[in-house]
Amino acid sequence: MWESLILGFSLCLQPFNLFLCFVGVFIGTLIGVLPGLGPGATIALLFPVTLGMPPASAIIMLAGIFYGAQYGGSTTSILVNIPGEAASVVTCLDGHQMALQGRAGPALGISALGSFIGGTFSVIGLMILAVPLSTFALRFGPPEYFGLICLGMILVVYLAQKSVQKALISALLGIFLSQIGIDQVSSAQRFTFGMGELFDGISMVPLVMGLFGLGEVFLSLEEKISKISVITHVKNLLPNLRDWKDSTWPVVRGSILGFFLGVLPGGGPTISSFASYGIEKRLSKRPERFGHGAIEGVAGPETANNSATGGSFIPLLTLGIPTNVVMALLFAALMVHGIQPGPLLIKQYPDVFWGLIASMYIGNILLVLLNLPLIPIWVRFLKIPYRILFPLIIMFCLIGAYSERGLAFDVSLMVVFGVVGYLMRKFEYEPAPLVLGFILGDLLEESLRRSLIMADGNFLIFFKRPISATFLGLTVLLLISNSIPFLKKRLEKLEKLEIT
Amino acid sequence: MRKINIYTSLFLMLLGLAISLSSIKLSLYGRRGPGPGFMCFGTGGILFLLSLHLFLKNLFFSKGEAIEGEAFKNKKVNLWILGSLIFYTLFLERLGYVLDLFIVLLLLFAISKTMKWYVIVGSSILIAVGSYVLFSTFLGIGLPTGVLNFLK
Repeated sequence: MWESLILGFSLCLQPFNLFLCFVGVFIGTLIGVLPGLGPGATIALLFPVTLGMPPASAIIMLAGIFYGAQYGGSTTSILVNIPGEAASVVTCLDGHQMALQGRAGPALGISALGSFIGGTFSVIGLMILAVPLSTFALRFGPPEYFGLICLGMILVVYLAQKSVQKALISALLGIFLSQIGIDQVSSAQRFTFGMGELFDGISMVPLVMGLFGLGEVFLSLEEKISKISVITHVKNLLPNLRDWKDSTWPVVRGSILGFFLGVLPGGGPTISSFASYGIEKRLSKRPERFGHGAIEGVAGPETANNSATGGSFIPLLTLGIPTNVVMALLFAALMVHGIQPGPLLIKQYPDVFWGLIASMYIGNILLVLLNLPLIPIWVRFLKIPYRILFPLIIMFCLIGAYSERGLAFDVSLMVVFGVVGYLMRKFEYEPAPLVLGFILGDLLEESLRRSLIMADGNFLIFFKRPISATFLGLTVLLLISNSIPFLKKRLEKLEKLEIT
Repeated sequence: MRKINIYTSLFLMLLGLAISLSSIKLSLYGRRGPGPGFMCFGTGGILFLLSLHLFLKNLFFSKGEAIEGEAFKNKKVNLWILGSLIFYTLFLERLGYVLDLFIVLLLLFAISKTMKWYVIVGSSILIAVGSYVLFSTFLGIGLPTGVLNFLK
C-alpha cells in the first residue's frame, strides 16, 4: 500500500497535477461560497475542460471541486446565514448565531479545522477499505450487481428530500432515458425515432448540464434576490482551549459518522451533516444551547460533511456504483476517459486511484490554507450580482453540451433538459435520482439480462445466490417500510370514518 | 401542488403506457433470454403504476390540500432566455460559435437593465472571443467557425 501511495504522491506532486488540484479546490471553495451553484452543476460545467487531460489529472481536479465545496459552504452559512451548499444548511443554525455574538472567527476556524480532520480521516478510510472491498467485489456476478444496483437506487430514492414516490418516478425516467439508442445485444433501435444522433444514446453531458446547470439558472432567475447582509468583521480565527474542549468529541464522532454515511447509497455530505447535528444535540448535556451559538453544532456537521466525501468514493471506485449525483458525474468522467469504474480499477489504473488519494491529502491541506486567510476575498465574491453570473453559466453549458460529440443536436438536447430540470424542481421531482437512474440504467439492464440468460430465464437466480438475495431482500424491506406510514394513515382514517 | 400533481401524474401515466406499448413491438423475450423491449416494458409499466397511484392519491385523498399550484414567477425573463437558447441552437453551425454566442450574450446581458449598452457589447465580444480562444485553441475543443471561417 505504501509503495502505491508513494506512486500517487509522485503523480500528484507533478506541477501540472498540483496546479489542477489547486484549481479544483479553489473553484470548489468558490462555488461552495456562492449560493445557488452546487458541486454537481460545476463539475458538469467544467467537464469539457477536462476532456483533453490525462484521466488522473481530470479526476484530481473534479474531485477537488467536490470536497472543496464542502469547505466553502460553511463560510456563507456562518457569515450570511444563507447556506452555500445543501450540506451546510445545518451550519446556519449555530454558526450564524456565533457570528452574531461576535464569534465568527472561532466558528470559521473550527469549521475549517474540523473539515480538515474529517476530510483526512475519510481519505485514510478510503485508502484502507477500498482495496479489500474491490477484491471482495470481484466475486460479484450479474445477479449480485443487479441486487446491489436495486438496493442502491432504492436507498437513493428512500433518502429523497421530498416525496419518495416522485423520486422513484424520477429514477424510472432516468432508466428509460438510458435505454434510448441501439440495443447492444440485438442491435434493435429503441426510441430513436430514426434520428441518427440518438443511435449512440443520449449523452450524459447535455443531460446533466441541462438538468443542473440550465435548470438551476431558470429557477434562480425566478427569485428576486434581496440584498444580503454579510458579517465582514472576523477576528481570532483559531478556536480557544474551551472551544477545542467542546469540539473534540463532535469532531471525532462527525468523522466516523460522516465517513460511513458517505459510503451508503443516497448518503453523502448533506445527510451526514444533519445526522451529526442531531446526534450532537442528543448527546449534549445542555441541548438548549443548540440553535443559539453552540460550537458543537458547527464542529460536528462540518466535520461530518467533509468526512462523507471520502466515503462516497468507496462504492464508485470499488464497485462501480455511484451513490450520489456528484459520484455519478465522476463515473461519467471516468467513462469518457475510457476507464470503467469497478473492482478492477485499482489494479488496472493504479495511477488514477492512488493519484486521487494523494490529491485528497494535498487538497485538504490546501483547503485549510485557502479558507482561513482568504475569507475576506470569499466574502467579496458573495457580492457579485447573479445577473452577471448567469450568462457565464449558460455559456459553459453551451460549450459543454457541444464539446463532447461536436453536435448541435446535443445543445438542443441540453436546452430541452434545462426546461425539464426547471419543471421538475417546480413540481417537486428531484433531478438527482433521474441522473442516477440514467447512469445505472445500462448496468442494471445488462446485469438483469445476463443473469436471466445464465439461469435460462429463471428469476429465482436472484434469490438462490446469497449476496444478491440479501441485497434484494433489503430492497424489498426498504420499500415496505416506506409504505407503512402511508398504510397506517389510511387505516386510521378508515377507523375514524367507521366510528363516525 | 395538488392540481400540478394531477396533471403531471396524468402525463407520466400516458408516458409509461406509451413506453410499455412501444416496447412490446421491440420483442420482450427471445430464444436467448430477455429481448430489447424487456427492460423498457418493465420501466414503462412501473412508471404507469406509480403515476396512477399518484394521480388517484391527489384526486381522491388529498382534498384538504390547496388546489392551486405554485405560480411561475418572472416568466418573461425565462422565456427570453429560452428564446435566446433556441436561437443559439438553430444558428450555431451557420453563424459559428463566436458570432452566435456574441448575439446570445447580448440578449442575456440585456436582461440586466442596469448595465450600459457599451459595457454589454464590450463584455459580450470579450467573452465570446476569449472563450473561443480558451476552449478551441488551448483545450483543443472543436467549435464551429461558421461565417467567420475565413478568419481561421
